[in-house]
Amino acid sequence: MLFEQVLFFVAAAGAIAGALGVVMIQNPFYSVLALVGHLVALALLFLLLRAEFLAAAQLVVYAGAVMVLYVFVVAYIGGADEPLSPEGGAIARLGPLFALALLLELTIAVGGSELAALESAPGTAAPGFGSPAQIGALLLSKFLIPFEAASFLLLVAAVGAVVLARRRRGLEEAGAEGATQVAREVREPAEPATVAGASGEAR
Amino acid sequence: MLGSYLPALVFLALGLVVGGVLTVLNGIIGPKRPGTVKEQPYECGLPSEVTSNFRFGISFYLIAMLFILFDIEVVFLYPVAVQLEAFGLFALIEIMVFIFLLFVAFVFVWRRGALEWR
Amino acid sequence: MTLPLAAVGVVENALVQVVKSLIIFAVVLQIVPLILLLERKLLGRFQARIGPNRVGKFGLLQPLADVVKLASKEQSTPATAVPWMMALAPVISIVTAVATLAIIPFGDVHNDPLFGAQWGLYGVDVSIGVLYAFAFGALAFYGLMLGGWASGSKYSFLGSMRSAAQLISYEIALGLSLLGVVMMAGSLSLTEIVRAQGAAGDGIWYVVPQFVGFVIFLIAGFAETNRPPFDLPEAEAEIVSGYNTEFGGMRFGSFFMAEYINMIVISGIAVAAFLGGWHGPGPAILDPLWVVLKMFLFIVLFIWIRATLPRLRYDQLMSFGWKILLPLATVNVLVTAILVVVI
Repeated sequence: MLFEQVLFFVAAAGAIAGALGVVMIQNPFYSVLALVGHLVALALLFLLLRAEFLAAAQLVVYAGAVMVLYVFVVAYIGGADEPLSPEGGAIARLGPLFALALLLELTIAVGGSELAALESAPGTAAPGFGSPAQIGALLLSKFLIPFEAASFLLLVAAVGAVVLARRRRGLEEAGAEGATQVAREVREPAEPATVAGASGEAR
Repeated sequence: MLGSYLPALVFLALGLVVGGVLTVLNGIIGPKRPGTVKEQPYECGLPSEVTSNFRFGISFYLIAMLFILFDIEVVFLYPVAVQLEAFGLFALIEIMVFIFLLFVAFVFVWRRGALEWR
Repeated sequence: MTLPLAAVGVVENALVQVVKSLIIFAVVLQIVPLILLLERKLLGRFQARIGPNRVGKFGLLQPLADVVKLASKEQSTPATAVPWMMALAPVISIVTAVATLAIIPFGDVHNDPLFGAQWGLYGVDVSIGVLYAFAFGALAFYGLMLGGWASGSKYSFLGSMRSAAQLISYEIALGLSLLGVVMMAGSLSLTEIVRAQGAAGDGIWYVVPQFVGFVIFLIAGFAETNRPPFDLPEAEAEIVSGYNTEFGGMRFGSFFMAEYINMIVISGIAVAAFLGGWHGPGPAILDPLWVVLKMFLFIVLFIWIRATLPRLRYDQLMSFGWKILLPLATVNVLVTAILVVVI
């Protein structure tokens, strides 16, 4: 049990550190890496909660797929140090307000529970809890409609991805793409927004 | 249950030790004769200006996007596949509907040329 | 409604778990230099050469000589690099490769008087089974990506982007190819899958009913381990050496070692999922031997194909993965599902 507690605190500290890193690091590439660290720590927390399948899915889908897209996007638009929104705007002023409201809400929610759960005995997990077999059984019985809806959602997402990419490509028709792009920019380096010098900004 | 993950932790620790030792080994026992030429990144023939400004084609973005979709498909199919025999025909029909919808997506993506590498 | 649940595997006591993990790791660590030598010897023979034969009898000490040479090199990092990340990248590669080793089953659960308890000759046998391997395979991506990115060299970065796109393109086919086996065995656990291929289960090695899945798994496995003909991340004719261009000494050795451990892992999963794992004639004590022997079959195949096939072009690689392998794997899953339910 002590062992599990040590693991929990390691994972919890990792999750918080990763989350802080995401918002506080300026360089987008490091920011993405911090998010990966955060997700790995979350997977460990899932595992400690006996949600084995969820832990694996977390790593495969989030750390292995979604974050790959983030890395590619950073490589695509380039990881400049420029601020995301030009000097504030309405969002920058409203942001702290919303954060404060959320903090109040969470404080009330946590305070209202009187943290009674801390004193209670831990719950027990039945054998096979959180295993793929159980998840599969649930997907085919209780959560059948969400399961099929997920497939439909993926279909919509595929259409959206292709349409968006095509629109962006239309904008780019003036320049070339991929390998030819590289060759071109060597000759006419005036092309804007091409800063994926990768480690360039890490120095 | 969680106890069966202990070997994974042992393997992780072993990997960390081996990897850690290998990565610092040359810094400790290797010779140290620094020079300005050694500090330059590899180049061959004429130096090219590509380093500071190149970006990758839209294909990388598209491939990563499609990968997420099909990866989720695979992750969903795994638990259902385990229960295929227990649920029989019902599970089969559900799997076929699930795959059919994604197949439609696949055909659409292919027809729109998103699978062409450029 | 009561839910049908998979049986929970044997949980040994902690000491047994640690000891067996150490033994498996030590054995695999001995196999790596053997493969290294085997590859050079076989490549030599394929090209009508003798291969290394100077260091030790039959060149047996050649891997040791290689290690000594690599270890005595100077550590050099380019001025454009991010040093701490260049140190981290090979560690990630090694850790993810070694962690995946835990999944390979070398033998069944034994009732052993020595420990006074049941224990099985594998690292972990958990309900998520092969997903454990996929989870660490997903993290292996960051070893290559960080390596290429941190080097501050265009060849490294190009190589890592390429290898990333290649990894993700073939990962789906890899995942789908094992689904057929999972459906037939009704479990994700590799030990359960091996047992299902024994006399008590279906009584047939899954390479026969799942031949298409087997071929897809092999092809995707070659691509996942960056082995020829899919070694585009290090296509030396165009991008020098890809993501490890700026790496030298044992850091380069780490990437190299990770590649060979990944080869062992892919071979091990293929043996368990398709070639009946530890099943073979003879008493139970020979079980681990059968697993290693079958693994070497695959490793020789890896080397043979390296000597035979030329490297693919990048667009060929991509369209092969997406337009041929992915639909084929999907059809295989559908056909298997129908057969499993109907028969």
